[in-house]
Amino acid sequence: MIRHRVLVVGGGLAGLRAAIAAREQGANTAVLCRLHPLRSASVAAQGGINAALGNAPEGGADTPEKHALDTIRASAYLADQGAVALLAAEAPARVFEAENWGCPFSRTPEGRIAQRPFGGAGLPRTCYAADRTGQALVHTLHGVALRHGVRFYEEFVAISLAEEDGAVFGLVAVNLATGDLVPVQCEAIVLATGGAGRLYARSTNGVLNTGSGMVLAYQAGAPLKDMEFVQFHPTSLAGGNVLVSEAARGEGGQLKNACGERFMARYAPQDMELAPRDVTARAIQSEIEAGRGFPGGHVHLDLTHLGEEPYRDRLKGVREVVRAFVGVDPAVEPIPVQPAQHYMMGGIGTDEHGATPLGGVFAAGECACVSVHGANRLGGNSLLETLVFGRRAGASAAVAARDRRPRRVPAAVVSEALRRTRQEWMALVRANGPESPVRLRRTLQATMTEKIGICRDGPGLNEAAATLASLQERFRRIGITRGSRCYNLELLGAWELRGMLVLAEVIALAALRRQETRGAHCRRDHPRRDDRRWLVHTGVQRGLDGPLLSSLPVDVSLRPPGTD
Amino acid sequence: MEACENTIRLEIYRWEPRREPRPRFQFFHRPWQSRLTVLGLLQEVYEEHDSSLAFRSSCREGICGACAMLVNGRYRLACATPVADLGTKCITVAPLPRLRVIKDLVVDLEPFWRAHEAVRPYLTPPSGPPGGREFLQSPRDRERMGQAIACILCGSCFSACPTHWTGKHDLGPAALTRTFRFYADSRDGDGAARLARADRGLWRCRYALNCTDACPRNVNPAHHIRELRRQAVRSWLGRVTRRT
Ligand SMILES: Cc1cc2nc3c(=O)[nH]c(=O)nc-3n(C[C@H](O)[C@H](O)[C@H](O)COP(=O)(O)OP(=O)(O)OC[C@H]3O[C@@H](n4cnc5c(N)ncnc54)[C@H](O)[C@@H]3O)c2cc1C
Ligand code: SF4
Ligand code: FES
Repeated sequence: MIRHRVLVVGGGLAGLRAAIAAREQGANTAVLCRLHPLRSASVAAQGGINAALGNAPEGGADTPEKHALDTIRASAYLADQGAVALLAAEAPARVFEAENWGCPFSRTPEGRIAQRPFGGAGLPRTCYAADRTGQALVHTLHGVALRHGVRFYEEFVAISLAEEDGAVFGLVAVNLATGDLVPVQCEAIVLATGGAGRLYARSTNGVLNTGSGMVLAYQAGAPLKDMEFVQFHPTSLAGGNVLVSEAARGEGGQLKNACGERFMARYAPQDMELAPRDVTARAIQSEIEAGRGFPGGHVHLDLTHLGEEPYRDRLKGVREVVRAFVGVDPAVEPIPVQPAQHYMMGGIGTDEHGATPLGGVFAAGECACVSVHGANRLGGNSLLETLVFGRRAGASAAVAARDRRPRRVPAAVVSEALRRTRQEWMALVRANGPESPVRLRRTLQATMTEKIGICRDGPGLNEAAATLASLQERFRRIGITRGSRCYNLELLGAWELRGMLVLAEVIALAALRRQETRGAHCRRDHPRRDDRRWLVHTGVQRGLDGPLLSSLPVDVSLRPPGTD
Repeated sequence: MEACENTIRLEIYRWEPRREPRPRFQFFHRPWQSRLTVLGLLQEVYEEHDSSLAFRSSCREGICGACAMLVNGRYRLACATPVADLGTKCITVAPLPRLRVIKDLVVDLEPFWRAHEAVRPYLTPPSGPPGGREFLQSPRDRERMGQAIACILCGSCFSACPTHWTGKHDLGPAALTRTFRFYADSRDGDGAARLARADRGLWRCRYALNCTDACPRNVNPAHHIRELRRQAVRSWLGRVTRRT
């Protein structure tokens, strides 16, 4: 049996930072990873990472307090303000640390880390490495993790936690190359599996973001929090949904519907295309639903009036991406864009140390909900979250692992989990029903996009819940091709699909329960924010017969709503 | 079989060495769509024809390096290769050559990662950071790392390098490019040791330029190797003249 003191699941930024922190505490640490860590979704982040460094000339007066305030406002007061204060206060230290480790940040003429303005921030606060900030950070942290002697298990996928009486002693993973189920024993686990964009038909996320860590935690009894808050990015390329940077609108790009009309005038006459993400995404969606979109469901982002100049530098990357993925030159033709799922604000509920109520289980990054994003995430804050709370979770896990005095023999719990998991896994291997996983997955994704997407309403959510229930039912009659065990993506996909169906149900129920519109959660039948009833987090825990929902208090100690 | 107007004739390399004696090619016909990428095509085959097909993918936007493979004989990131760019409707997809096949398009990159780790791919500054802030680095100094920082470690150049085919496990172009990236970083203080470690591989390069040709990210490993050699010669000359 594989044994480590601390086991990190996920090799994105949160997982890498957690692993380094655990090693800094002297713990024997390993990372399990669905693919090589350098293939994690974190590499796709372009924009940058927020920290009040005050390096830009206009940013001289920036402080962590201002950063925290911007974050709280963007969150529609649903973020826990103590956690936000921590995030902002530790931001400079984490960014300097990444730089000291070698991250190739872009520079000011004085040689300091360059910062640029980003939506929702009062000052230029977003540190960047050209348009490859995520890649620069992941490569840097992976190198540091190697230096610290972190052990990596690549192409090992965690498929269940070894839990007993509310405490976890390890997990079961599948080794993709051989198809073997592998038991892993450890004193503490850090879940850092990233987002769940693949629940949606249209998402900017990579193909690995299936929410598997959230499912692992939920199945083992940890509560999920604020799952109804899903951020949609207004401009992704029609078709594959590759992100078109906000910079395209910042430079003067105009959104036009099929009638050639600049429709933002109707939704945000002041800000027009520069309105916040959620407003713009809703506007585009409304145009498409009103039949004023182009066939296939998109609108145009028109940059043709800007000439060649912006492509020399600022929009160079945008032009390359648009050319490669839709075969259009934005200088000559408008870009076909549509909104797409982008980020999960909700996740595994944790405290400021990344701890969950499950003994021995910690979580960090996009799969966790501390919560610092509340109802809406500020651009540049999620990379920051991975470093700040990844470090905290890794360090706390190492300390907790040292002090742990298990009542049961952990190896017995892991063996029992292996036995149970193998049974379920083999049942899936042998499944020969009429339902195809691909078809179920497509129905799931279509339901999520249509009914639990940018705009929601009671009847739609009820329908969605019913569809999801029937999908869970149909899953029991699933059929898997009789293939080999080696690199069997179909089997893994089916296993993940079962988890995704559970997660989708949680999102549907949470969205149905919250009868208000706040941040990214837009209810057409309840268009107002209602602080009297709904200034609360939604908690969802697995019950004996289905999810149990509850309200949890929000920390508004710094700046209660209505004070500005 | 010929591809006609509205269909793509796709040929995919299939092999599971543990179960099959030799590789084969499997044929598919798919409807032509102008906005499809090669990865999209593989995904369609997986979903609609044969879900035993094994391939790696993650970001589907050309930045994670998971989907490097041979498309019509050229090194490509499948996700960043629109079928419309190939100039033909006959498409052949094969795994990165000269690496052990695990299954179908999935190859064992273990030797590639070992080489990467061997060059110590992390910054080693000469002294501690300046008082809890960033090291200063002018935009000019940052430029000196050039395109080397854009390498996503997809493995294409490693597979393409003919020096490598001799079976000697040298570092290969990507690991040498990574060496250059740190060597050229004004914050690093490990230059001499980096050159010494790069010795394994630096002098075997025959400038075939396959690496530069293969790289889907416009990195120019051959150029970085040449630069490292120049630096190595210079430092060697420095030592010799000092001694005499
Ligand atoms: C296109 C795009 C652009 C973005 N731009 C920005 C930006 O500019 N600024 C910003 O702050 N944020 C940005 N974000 C958001 C940010 O990138 C992510 O929220 C963040 O990188 C998530 O990091 P993570 O470490 O939590 O997860 P990930 O990077 O997704 O890593 C998850 C890891 O878990 C592994 N894994 C998953 N499941 C399992 C399992 N069951 N077993 C084993 N391993 C598993 C995966 O292999 C992967 O290594 C962007 C997101 C996208 C999609
Ligand atoms: S240099 Fe280019 S081909 Fe080689 S690993 Fe890096 S990105 Fe891939
Ligand atoms: S899937 Fe990431 S580079 Fe192709």
